[in-house]
Amino acid sequence: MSACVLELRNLTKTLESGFYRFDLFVPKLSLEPARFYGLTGKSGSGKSTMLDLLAMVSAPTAVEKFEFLSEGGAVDIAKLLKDSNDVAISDLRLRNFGYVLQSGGLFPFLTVRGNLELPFRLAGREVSDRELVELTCPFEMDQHLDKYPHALSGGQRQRVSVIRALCISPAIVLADEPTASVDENMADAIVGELKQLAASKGTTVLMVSHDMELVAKFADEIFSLRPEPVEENHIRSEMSVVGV
Amino acid sequence: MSESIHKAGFSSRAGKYWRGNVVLHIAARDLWHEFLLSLCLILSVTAILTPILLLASVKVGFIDRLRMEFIEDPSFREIRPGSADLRSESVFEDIRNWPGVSYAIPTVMMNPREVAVRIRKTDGIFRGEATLLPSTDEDPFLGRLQGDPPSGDNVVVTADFAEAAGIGIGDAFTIVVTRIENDQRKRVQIDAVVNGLIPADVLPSQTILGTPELEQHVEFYRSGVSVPERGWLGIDMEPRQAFSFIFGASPEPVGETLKSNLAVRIGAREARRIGPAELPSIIGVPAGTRFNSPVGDLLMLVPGGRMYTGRDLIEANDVLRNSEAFAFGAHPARDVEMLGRNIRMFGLPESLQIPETAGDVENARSRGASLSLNDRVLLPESLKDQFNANGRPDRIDVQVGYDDGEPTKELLLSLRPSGFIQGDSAMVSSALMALLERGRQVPLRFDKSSNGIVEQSTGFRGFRIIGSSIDLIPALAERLEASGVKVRAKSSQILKLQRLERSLNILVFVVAFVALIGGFSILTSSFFANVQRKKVAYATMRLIGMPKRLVFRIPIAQACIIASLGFLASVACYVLISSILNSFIAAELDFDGQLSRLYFSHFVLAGLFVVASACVASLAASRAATSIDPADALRTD
Repeated sequence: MSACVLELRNLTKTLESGFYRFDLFVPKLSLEPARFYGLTGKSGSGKSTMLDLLAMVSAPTAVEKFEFLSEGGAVDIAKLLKDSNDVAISDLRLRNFGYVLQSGGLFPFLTVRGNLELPFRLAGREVSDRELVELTCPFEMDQHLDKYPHALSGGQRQRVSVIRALCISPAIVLADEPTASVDENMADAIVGELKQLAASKGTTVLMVSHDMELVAKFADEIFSLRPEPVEENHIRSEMSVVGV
Repeated sequence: MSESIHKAGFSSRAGKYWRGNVVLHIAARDLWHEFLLSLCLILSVTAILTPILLLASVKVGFIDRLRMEFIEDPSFREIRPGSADLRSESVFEDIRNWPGVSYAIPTVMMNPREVAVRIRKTDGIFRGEATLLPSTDEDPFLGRLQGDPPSGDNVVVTADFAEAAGIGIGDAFTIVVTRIENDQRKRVQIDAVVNGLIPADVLPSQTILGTPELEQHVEFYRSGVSVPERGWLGIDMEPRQAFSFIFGASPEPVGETLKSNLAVRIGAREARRIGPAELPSIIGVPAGTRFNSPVGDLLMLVPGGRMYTGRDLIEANDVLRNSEAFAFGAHPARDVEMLGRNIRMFGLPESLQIPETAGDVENARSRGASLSLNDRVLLPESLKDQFNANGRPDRIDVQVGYDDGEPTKELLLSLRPSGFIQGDSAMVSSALMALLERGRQVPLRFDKSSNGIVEQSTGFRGFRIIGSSIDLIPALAERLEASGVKVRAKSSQILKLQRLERSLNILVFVVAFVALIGGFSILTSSFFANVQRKKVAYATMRLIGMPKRLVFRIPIAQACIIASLGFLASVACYVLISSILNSFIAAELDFDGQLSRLYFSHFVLAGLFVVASACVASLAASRAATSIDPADALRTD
């Protein structure tokens, strides 16, 4: 197995809006397999921007190295983004990345079963009922397979979102404030389940959260973004490792 | 690279299936999830499409009814002669190959005539009359034939005739044909058998449809032409003349009025002024031949697609009678065989001839050569020795050849040599040339007893031409007229129908266009708004790895589903309303037939058009779906 699944060096992302300028700088980021990472920071520190970059929905302004590494070799994500190679990016996301969104990100027009089947269908695979039950049973969601998302509680929705993110065993799962809309106990449960399932599948998790306590409880390693004013209307935020 | 990110267990073939299917699945599930909104869209399509279908169906039903009326009346598809010009069978062989001609058969007379019919019955003798028409297996009038087509003396009769005569299939009856000969009524009989029946509405009067031979035999007998096949004797008739050209010569310039009057009266295409030097080349007078070249104005009456007759020449001279001008007919030279040699023979009117010696002229005139068959010939000087060697015969044989397919196969004439002219060509009167030309229209025979040329048949003065469709009749009639065949057809009524159909088409098109523009706008805005409302879902699709090309197809798939369901609902509404229109409204309007009617092809075309339009209407939404920035969409949410 590779030493890391994602490697990133000297990445800069500049956002400008009128007179306001925000620079995000990541000197180095290496995500190792089957590890649980946390990313914290204050509001406006660039957590979401960082996640957009990792999710390949936003391209860096400058980067020295931005690679996905697997047994098959390295994929130069920076080049794919530069070339706007949508087919390759979509394929990379589909097979190697999972996402857990703040709102759950479930499709309201599909049942739980439909939401879970979708990644398989996109990847060209059929999924049996048995597999779906096996996936959902540990989360106690096997009884809710034919329900629509609006019929589920917030916690149940997030659980389904976690299952969907991990169902095709991706290399990395990016979780964007997955516990923002649930209470503390539920948050602990969901993150615990996320960590447990990811570990069982050898998946790396990067969870973004402003809840330092939650992150500290589960993360193997924590990154932090610290925004500092450079001059008026210009903020620079740099990523650093704050704890292991 | 793609290898490196490809995981085991994902089959590319299955992938294509599932990815294609997943678009349809997502599109359908989304529409079903918002059932009421989708239903509104489907009803919008239905509300737009149903009135268009109904409008189009009423137009089709109305026009179809009119067309059926036209088609059921075969006279609308029939073209009849407008003049009694004589034509040979070969003309009709050519016409049969024209596009749009379903059937063409010549008739001896311009208008079919009636024959007397006699049927012996147990309670007496039935005497009646019926029109006799030639017919064959391919005759469209036999489309609803009960029994067999005409063969030999077995005929087909219309049902009204059969009813009046009290006969049916297999019954025998007698056709009686009469003619006046030497002030005496002569008659012959044909024993006919009813071979088949056709409905009375096919033809306007009680009719007997016989073989072409039967019709020809009847008309030949009436015209005095012998019918050896039936042992009917004929009365020899002098043939009529057929001129290729009629010229008008005048020492004074001919005025424009007289010129156009001349052209109109004899049916010429134009009266063209030509130089005196052109005349010899047109009628084939060899260079060096002396003749009275007309002085002053010389007009050539260009024929309008038919041969001139002796009557036309009389008519032309009648037009010119108050001037110093005169008209003469002429023909191009033709090759004949005489005294064992192939000789070019040309004709000149007597008024232009200058014989080699005055004695020859006197000699010829004193023998009383007739105008209609002037049987003298001026031999070429090159034949002088041979002529003398043969003992200066009083008459010489002249063999005239005709082309294949022409009624006269070969004509052997006996002419009186009455002098010599310079060169290698023989000269006869243009009247004789016109008689020989007549052989191209009817079979000719030289009668040695009277030293005259007689017609062996009367040729064909009429025809029945039936178009394959009423739409083709006006063009067909126009083509026949352009080729010199005067015709009568119901072109004006057909053109009126076509104009009405075109107008209704435009009307339906304009209404449909306006309605479809409205429908198109509704669908475009609805699909676009739908994508804007579901930005998060589209952003999530991108995040979980759905490529842009699949995202692009989702609104299109939804458009196809909405359009298809809307179309099916429209068809259902149409069927319902149409049946009400046809059952109740049509009866109220006293409309005979289906007031509202559409064919399967109309539904197929309408369905394809609606689905295609909806796809186009969804393109803006598809474009918007692929332009969604997932980062923006998810943050905004």
